[in-house]
Amino acid sequence: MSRLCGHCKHFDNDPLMLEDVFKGINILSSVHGSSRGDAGICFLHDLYLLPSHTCPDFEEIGVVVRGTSQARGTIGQETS
Amino acid sequence: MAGQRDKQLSKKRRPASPPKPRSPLLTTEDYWAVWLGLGVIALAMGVFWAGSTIKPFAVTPGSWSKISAIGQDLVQHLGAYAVICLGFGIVFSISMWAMGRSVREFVPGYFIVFLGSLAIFYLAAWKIMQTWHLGAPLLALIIGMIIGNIKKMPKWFHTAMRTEYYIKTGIVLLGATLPLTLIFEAGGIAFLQATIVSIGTWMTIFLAATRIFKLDRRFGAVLGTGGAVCGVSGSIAIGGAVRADKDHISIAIGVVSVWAIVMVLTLAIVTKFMIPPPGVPVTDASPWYAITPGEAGAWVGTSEYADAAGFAVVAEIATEYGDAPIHTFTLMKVIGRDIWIGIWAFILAIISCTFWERDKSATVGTRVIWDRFPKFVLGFFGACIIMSIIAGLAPHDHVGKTAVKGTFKSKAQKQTFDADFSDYQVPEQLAHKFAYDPEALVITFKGKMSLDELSLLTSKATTSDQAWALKNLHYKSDWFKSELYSRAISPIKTLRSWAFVFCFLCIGLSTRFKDLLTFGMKPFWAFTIGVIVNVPLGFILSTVVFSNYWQAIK
Repeated sequence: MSRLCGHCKHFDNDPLMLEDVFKGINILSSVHGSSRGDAGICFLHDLYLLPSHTCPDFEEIGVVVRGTSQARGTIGQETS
Repeated sequence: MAGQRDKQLSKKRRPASPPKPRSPLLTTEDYWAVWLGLGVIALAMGVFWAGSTIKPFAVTPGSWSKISAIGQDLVQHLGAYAVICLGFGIVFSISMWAMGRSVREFVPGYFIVFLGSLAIFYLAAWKIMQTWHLGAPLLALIIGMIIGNIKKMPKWFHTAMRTEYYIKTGIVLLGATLPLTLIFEAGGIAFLQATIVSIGTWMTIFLAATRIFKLDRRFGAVLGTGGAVCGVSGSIAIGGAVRADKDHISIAIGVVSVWAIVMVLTLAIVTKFMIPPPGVPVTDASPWYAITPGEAGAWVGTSEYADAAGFAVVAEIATEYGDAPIHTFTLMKVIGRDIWIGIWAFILAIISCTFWERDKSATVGTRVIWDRFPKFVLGFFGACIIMSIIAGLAPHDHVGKTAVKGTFKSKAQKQTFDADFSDYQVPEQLAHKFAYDPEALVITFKGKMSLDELSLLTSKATTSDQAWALKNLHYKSDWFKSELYSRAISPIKTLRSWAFVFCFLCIGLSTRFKDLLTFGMKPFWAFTIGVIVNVPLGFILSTVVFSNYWQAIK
């Protein structure tokens, strides 16, 4: 399995979580649009990034399921 | 922070088996807006080809001055309002479920949005509001904002406040009303103007942020794209590509949203002041600041940061001046600026990886260009192409027909007539085209009547009623206007206005300045410097440099 941020335990791209973190995002944009796509947050470095990014602090866990609220929990599925 | 995350995650149910990968075709608003918009167009065209129209079900309240008229309108159109509410509501609900949202929260919230929009339409149809030149878009925004800032909306209601989804649906429907030829004619100018403004605004904000206020370069890029390309959506698209600090994304959302709302209100008031009253052309004798509705739309498309906010301005202008400002805005904003967001993301990601990142291993592929492309634009183009093809299929043997007694209606005129054609002398040149049926009391014309032919026919009219009947026949002889536009495109426009008002009401209800004004002054001033450059630059390009192009668009 690749060591992409999308497979890292510190990465989360759950739309509901993103709406909580980015207050006001729904006023003139959306977490369900192409502009956000499958980007999410690395809670280790507090960065907003794409699941295809990489980093030396990778820790394996998680899954990227685009656009659903069940964004984490299993290993080895990348749909980005 | 990571510890907090783990605590939060431990509360979540982790699926025992891997969830099936779900296609973005069913899990993004962009594609759902395409399916819904094209579905409405397919329905309208299917009913049209079957010889009927969806017009009775695509309605908004008519103008009123006495309160009793509201009751009468409700009785008359209750079924139509129910069909609109349920039609949109069912598709929205299914899509919310597909996107992983709570349908139980969405449905009651959507009903509130619908009823609120209906109330806004009624208010805008009040004669007094028309006297004050206040249309449904601006009323939805202002009333929504007053309510939203007095009373915080409950969390469950946020599920139904899907501003972007509603505006994207409206934009796809808009494609059915925008001729493809217009895109070919003015698309190049829109792209050129957008490129000048986008690069100029982006460089200004980026340099102000990084050189004057010493902000992080990725933060400067996120702010710059918010101002230069497509508002908050631009900021989050670039934020992900350049690996921005998550707090910088929050700040950018606040700064861009506040300026976008300020610009909605400012541009709506200023452009309405600058455009002469309907029917009055802009000439050399006009005041120096006078601009046409087309120029105003292009200016708003250049100087407003978000699609939804910009559409609020041009839809408001369109309530009095017709669709020209909506068309020029769409060309400028959607085609000129929005569709290039993927290219911006790719270029800035390369710059970020090469020059700004400490970790040089970070890379991003060309796929980001497609990933960030606003897919709803495909639906807009699809609708535009479909309707342009259908318009080109006008039957050559179309026979226009009108009763000799009726009403001629246009945007500027309404006139009843009761003509007698028994003694009418048909001009010899048009005897093979014009006919009068004394038994059915109708006049007919083969093929599309030209203005010269109308003049010739009218020259033989002996009464004003005959002249009005001939004018009505001129309209009826145009298959596009009297058949396709009247029975298919016009109802699509009405449904589009519903989607727009849903959106504008949601912008108002969800805009809480108290929550947004949490950013520091440095990013605010960096963005403000960009606004100071962008607004006059957009005005000069729209009303001086490319003025002829924008004025010509109707």
